Amino acid sequence: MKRTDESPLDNGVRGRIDMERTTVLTVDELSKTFGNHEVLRSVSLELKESDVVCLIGSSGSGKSTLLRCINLLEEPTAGTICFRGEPVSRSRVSLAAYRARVGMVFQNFNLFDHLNVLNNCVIAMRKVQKLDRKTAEQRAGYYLEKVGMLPFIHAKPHQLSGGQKQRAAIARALAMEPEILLFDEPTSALDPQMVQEVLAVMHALAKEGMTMLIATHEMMFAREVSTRVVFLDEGSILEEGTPEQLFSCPRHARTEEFLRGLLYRCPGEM
Amino acid sequence: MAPFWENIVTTWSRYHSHYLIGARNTLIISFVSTFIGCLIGFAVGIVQALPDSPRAGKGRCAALKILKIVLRSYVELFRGTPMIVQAVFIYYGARLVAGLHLDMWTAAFLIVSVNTGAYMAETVRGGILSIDPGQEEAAHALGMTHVQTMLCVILPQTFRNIIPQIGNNLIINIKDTAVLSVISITDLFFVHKSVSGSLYNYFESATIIMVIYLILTLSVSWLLRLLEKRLDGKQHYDLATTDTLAHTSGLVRYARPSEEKK
Repeated sequence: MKRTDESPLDNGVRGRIDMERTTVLTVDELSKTFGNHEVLRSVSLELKESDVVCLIGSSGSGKSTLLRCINLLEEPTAGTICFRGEPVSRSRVSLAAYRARVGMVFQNFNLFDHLNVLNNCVIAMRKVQKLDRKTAEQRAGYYLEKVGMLPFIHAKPHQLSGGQKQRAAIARALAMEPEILLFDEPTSALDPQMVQEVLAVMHALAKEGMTMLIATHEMMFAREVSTRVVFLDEGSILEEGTPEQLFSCPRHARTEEFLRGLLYRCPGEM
Repeated sequence: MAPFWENIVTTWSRYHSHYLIGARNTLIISFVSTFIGCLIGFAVGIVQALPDSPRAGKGRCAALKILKIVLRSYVELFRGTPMIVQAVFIYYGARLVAGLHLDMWTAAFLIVSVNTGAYMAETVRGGILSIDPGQEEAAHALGMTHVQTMLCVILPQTFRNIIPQIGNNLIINIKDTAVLSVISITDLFFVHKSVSGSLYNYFESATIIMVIYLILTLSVSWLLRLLEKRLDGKQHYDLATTDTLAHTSGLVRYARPSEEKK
C-alpha cells in the first residue's frame, strides 16, 4: 500500500486511508532509566504503514534513546514494543531477524570503514539475508542509485563527504528492504549544504510511502514531510499532532517556547 | 684492521653453513611462534574485550568473569617474567615436576608462542576497543549477530590496525630467540657461541651475526609495510558519473507540497 499521489498534508484522505492501513510498530509505556536518571517516561507511540513521524524536542529530551530502545540497542527498563502486532522478543535469533526488518540511520553514519560503499551495503544482505553476491550487488546498486551514490560504489568511507556518507548509510539500510526506517538525527553532523542532499533523499522516501520515524532538528523538513509530529520533553511525549496543528498552534507553553527558540534562531523561516 | 677482515672471511668461509642453519632456525621459530602467538592473542583478546552483557544469563556472566580472570593471570604472568627464565622453568620444570620430556623444539615453540600470545592479547584488546563502537551498533542494527559483527566488521579493522605491533613482535622474536640457546636450540646466537668458542674470534663472529640479524629484521619490516599497503587498497577511487544530488553551490529550498502541485 503506497501513498504516492496524496499530499502528506491532506488529512481528509489520510483519515480514510487510516482505516485500511496496518499498524507496523507499537510502543507501549516504554521507560528507560540510566542509573537514577529517567530518560524516557512511559512513552507510547503507534506507527501505521506509510506514516512519517518526526520526533522533535531539545537535546536530552530522549529522542535518540527512544529510537535506540525501539531496535533494542538499548534495553528498555519497562514497557513493550510490538512489531506487526507481535511483541519483540529479546532472544538472539528473533532479535537479529527483527533488526533486519527495522532499518536504522545514525547521526554519525557508522559506515564500515574498511569496506567500500558497495560492500557496506552488500555485507548485511549476504550475512543476514543469505543472498548470493550477485543478487545482493544488484539490489545494493538499485538503492545506491536511488540516493545518488552509484558513482561512488568503489569509494571507501574516508574518501567521501559527510552528505555522501549519510546517503550511503541510508542506501545500506534500504538495501535490507526494511519495513520501517528509524533516523537518529541524520543531518546533525553535516554542513548546511550537505543537509539538503540528505533531506532530499528522505523526502523522496517519504513520498514513496516508506514508514519512517525520524528524530530531527530540521523543523522545515518535519513540517513538510511528516504525517505526525511528536514533541518530546524530558522523556515524555508532551504533545503530538499533525504538523500544522503542532507548529501553528501548539497546545502547551513548553512546545511553544521550544518552537519560538528555533524561530528566533532562523528568522524568516516558517 | 687487516686481520679483522681476514678473520671474518675465514670464519664465514669455514662456518657459513652453520650460520645459515642458525639463521634458518631463528626464522622458523620466530615466524611459527609469532603466528601461533597471534592466534592465542586474538583468542584471548576477543574474550577480554567481550562486554559483560546484561542480556546473558547469570551463569554465563559468572563463567565469563572467571575465564577473564584466568586469561588476565596468564597475560600478567608471561608478560611479567623474563623469557629466558620461562625457558628454563618450562623445559626443565616439565621434566622434574610432571615427568614430561619436552623435546627442545616443542619447548621452544611453546615458550615463544605463549610469550608472544601474552603481549598480543593486550594488543588485540586495544585494537578492538579502538574501533568506533558506532560500527558495531550499525552492524547490530542491520541484524548481524555478535559473531558476524566481530568477523566481518571489527576484526578485519583490528587486524589492519595492529599490523605494526605484529611486526614489532616478530622482530622482537627474531632477536629474543637468542635466549633459547639456554635450552640448546641451535639458533643464530647458539652458532655464534659455538664458533667463537672454538676459534676465539668473538668480535668477528658477533659482527657476522649482527649483520645477519639486521638483514632478517629489515626484510621483515619491509614485508610488513608491503602487507599494510596491500590491505589499505587504492588511495583513489573510480567515479562512474557525476553526483547529481549534491547541491554544493548553495542551499536548495524545499518546495511546499502546495507549490509542488502547480
